[in-house]
Amino acid sequence: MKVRIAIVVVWFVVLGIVGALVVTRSDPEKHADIVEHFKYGSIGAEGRSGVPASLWLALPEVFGDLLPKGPGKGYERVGLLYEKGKTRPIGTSFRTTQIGMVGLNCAVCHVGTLRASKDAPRQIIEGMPANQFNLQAYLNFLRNAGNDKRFNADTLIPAIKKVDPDFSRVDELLYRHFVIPRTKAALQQLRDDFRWMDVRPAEGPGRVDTFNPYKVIVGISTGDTVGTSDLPSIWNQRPREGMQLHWDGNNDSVAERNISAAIGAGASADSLDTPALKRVRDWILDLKAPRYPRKRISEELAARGEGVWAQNCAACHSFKGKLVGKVTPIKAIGTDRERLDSFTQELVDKQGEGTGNLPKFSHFRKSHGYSNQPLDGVWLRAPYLHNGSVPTLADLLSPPSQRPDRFYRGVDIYDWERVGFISRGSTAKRIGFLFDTQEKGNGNGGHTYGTDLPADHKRALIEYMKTL
Amino acid sequence: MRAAKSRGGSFVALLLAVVVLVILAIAFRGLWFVALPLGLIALVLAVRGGRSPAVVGYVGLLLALVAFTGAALAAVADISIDRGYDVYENSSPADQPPLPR
Repeated sequence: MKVRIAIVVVWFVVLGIVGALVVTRSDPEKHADIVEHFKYGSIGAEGRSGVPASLWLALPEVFGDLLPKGPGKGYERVGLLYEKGKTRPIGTSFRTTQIGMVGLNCAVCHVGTLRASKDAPRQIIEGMPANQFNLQAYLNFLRNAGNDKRFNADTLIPAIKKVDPDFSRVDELLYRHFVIPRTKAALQQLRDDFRWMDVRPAEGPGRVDTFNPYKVIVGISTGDTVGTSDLPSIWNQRPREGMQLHWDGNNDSVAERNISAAIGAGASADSLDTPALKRVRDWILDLKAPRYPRKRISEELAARGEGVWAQNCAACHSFKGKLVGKVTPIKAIGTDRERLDSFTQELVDKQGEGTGNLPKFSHFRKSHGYSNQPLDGVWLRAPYLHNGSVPTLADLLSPPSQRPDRFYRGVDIYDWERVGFISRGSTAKRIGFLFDTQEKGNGNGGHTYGTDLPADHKRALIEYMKTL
Repeated sequence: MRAAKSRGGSFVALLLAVVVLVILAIAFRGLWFVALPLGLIALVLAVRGGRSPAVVGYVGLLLALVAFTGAALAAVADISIDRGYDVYENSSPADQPPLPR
């Protein structure tokens, strides 16, 4: 009997050691090259919101009908970008924990695309707002899939075997009994956590409601505000340190803003990979915005426009401007106030407490308007205003009554004339998302600065802004 | 007499372990509350098997260990899934209206 007891003890000791190793395992995909790390490396977002890798690959095979209609296949239909030779799109990361997990990283919202014309090759631009990525459609795809009758082991495992040749018998057992039931439960939880999204206007590509998901995490009401706004660029972060960051200027710490964004991508206080995030931070501190093609700029006109800029715009939008990075009160700027109102003092208080497995934040504050942003690379940051409600610079310099009420966004063909992306016409209609400025949170009013300039001054100003 | 009892205990442990493994193979999480106590009984009997023939005793012990561990894992898997979102509980989750794409 002593021998048997010894066997039992050894069994459970070994089991305990193996179990501890498995539970604490966290092995992220690593890239020495910083651009690759930015596009495919893990920042720890798999912890809270990752999807088991083999399952993630198979979901579009089984639930293709739940993806939005549009160009491309699989996850391309929600605007994720695939590079040649890669099995996962830009902005997705991989980490082996108990099993391999796919999560999101910074690049999912901060890598965009540009085509010089309809038939030109697509350029992938790091640090640019992800003008083509529809985060809401991606989330809804997962939410719908998790709530679908086909989400069961009998349907999913054959599909996984098709897309993942390395899927073993052991994996099959794990997936059948643990992974698929747990993922289904998690996706149903996701469905409930994001119900607030279903009663708000569709966000469309290149936009996100940043702070309503936070309210769910910390357990406060989302109310009825619509916080949907444009994804920002992330170039030149060093000179932004100390500025009032986020559209409403609610935080003046680049480091804290980065952590907050990583939480938005799916990380939690426990799962956040701080060294990996620091690598990205160090890189974007001095990452430069791409230059507008020189051959498309009239130097003479741009030179004239520099004076117009200095007189009318530089104070708020030049890196050296007196008011740059400061908040302009909502009454003065007059743009849509939903985004401002969606960020509340109650949320600030909760963020300071570190509830809901969030880190404790100390730089958030409730503001009273929108922050004056430096306009580096402004040509790639269209559509304009915080909510992306004005398609081009030419439209922005028009009085609000003359700005388009409805236009298409999410098209990456450049409009070299009006400076922005193509937003009307048959191509835009075919592949774009119809943006309606009458919807709540989508208002295109306000920011009338420069709208009363003479036409030749406007032309010169736009020409100069191409050089920023 | 004691040897016969021990031998009997090992056989019962072996049989119980097989029963538990069959239950786990068929239902896994679904019947963990049956599998776990049976696995525990099998394990206790296998340890107490004493002077039973070595092969029966050790095979019984090994299977009982596997069965008990499997049942415990099934219990953990089941308990760790929130009841409100459990696929086993929600027979027709697709009854809810589809979400916007």
